[in-house]
Amino acid sequence: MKESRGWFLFMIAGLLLFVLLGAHLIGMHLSSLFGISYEKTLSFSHVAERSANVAFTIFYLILLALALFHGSYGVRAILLELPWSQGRERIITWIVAGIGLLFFGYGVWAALAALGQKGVFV
Amino acid sequence: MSRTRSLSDIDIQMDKVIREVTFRILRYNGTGEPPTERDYTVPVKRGMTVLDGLLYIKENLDGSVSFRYSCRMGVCGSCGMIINGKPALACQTQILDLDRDVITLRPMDNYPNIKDLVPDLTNLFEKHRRIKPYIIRPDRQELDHPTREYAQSPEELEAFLQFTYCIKCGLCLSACPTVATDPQFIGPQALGQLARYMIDNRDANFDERCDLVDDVHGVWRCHFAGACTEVCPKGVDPALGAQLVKHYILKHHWFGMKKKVTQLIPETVSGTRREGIPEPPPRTVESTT
Repeated sequence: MKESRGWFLFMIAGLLLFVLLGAHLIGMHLSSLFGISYEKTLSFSHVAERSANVAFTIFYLILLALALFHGSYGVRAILLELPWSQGRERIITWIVAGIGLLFFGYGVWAALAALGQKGVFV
Repeated sequence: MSRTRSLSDIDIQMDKVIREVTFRILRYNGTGEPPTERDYTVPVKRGMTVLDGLLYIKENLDGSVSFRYSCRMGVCGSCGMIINGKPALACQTQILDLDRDVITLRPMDNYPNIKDLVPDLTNLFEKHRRIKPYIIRPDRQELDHPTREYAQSPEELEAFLQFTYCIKCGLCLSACPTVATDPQFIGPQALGQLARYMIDNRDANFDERCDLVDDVHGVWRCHFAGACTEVCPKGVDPALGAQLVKHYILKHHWFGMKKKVTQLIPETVSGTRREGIPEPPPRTVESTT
């Protein structure tokens, strides 16, 4: 893949993160503006309720994917600025991508597990 | 009461030693031994540049001090060095403007050093060569044996003109923080020149140029620190060039951008004299030229 393709997706992910992360921050930390108290937003029952909601789950999986891609690409860019040999550059790319996918898999598992516990939480 | 200064007064002013300045030069003998600093005291007159100071040292104090120079007027780009911690041309830096008792001089960063203030610029020219810094067109015959000009409006020229002022002094690479960590990074000088040929509507090699720096150590490693633009002695903006290259590559790869290439101007139509136009009156004064 040409470097421009990855870089463009990196930028798009950054822009989308700005929107999604903004929505997350408003929902989690500034919700008192909308009449819901801070303590209530972060209470276990509310967290469980949100986790059991399909729309929330999809929202956070998209957020997770974008954040991991953006972050992993950024870490790779920093690492590749060190003087590696060409073979090692490829290894670094695979390692960073592997770690990113691992975290994404873990996130998906946690989200789906929470979604599956709907009956228990709510 | 004001006094009109004569030319001889000005000569005396120019010849007067204003202050003594210490040149602290990082000396390196090229054998791999660690470089050491050495001080030289230079009597400074009005209008003296750092290069003049170095020439004074070379002629009067220590003939073994090595530095590169040629034109002495900011055109050849040979005398780039780090002056008081900032990359600059020695011939364009006035000693009195620095307003310091001690001026530190060391070779440009991000280049291997050959001796004293002489860096090895091979890397700069190899990177410059990589972007194919010349017009490429399919009509090779016309390029080799031109018969007419290629059409280019003043606005089309203005779009890339600033990049043509690059004198390949290498100061931008010396200032670039990315080159400092990634020596393989293509660097601001080459990116500025690549932008120049991507914009130039006489060049027909846009598609290939988009691929030249689209790799791991290519244009995407530019962090837009802007240090290259800050130090450029000719007022070129290589940082802008790098961003333009990114812009063109993205538009080409994602949105199929194609470049509109200019063609030869039409054959000049020879003039014909209209009937009935009166002849001018005879000259009343003989031309002196």
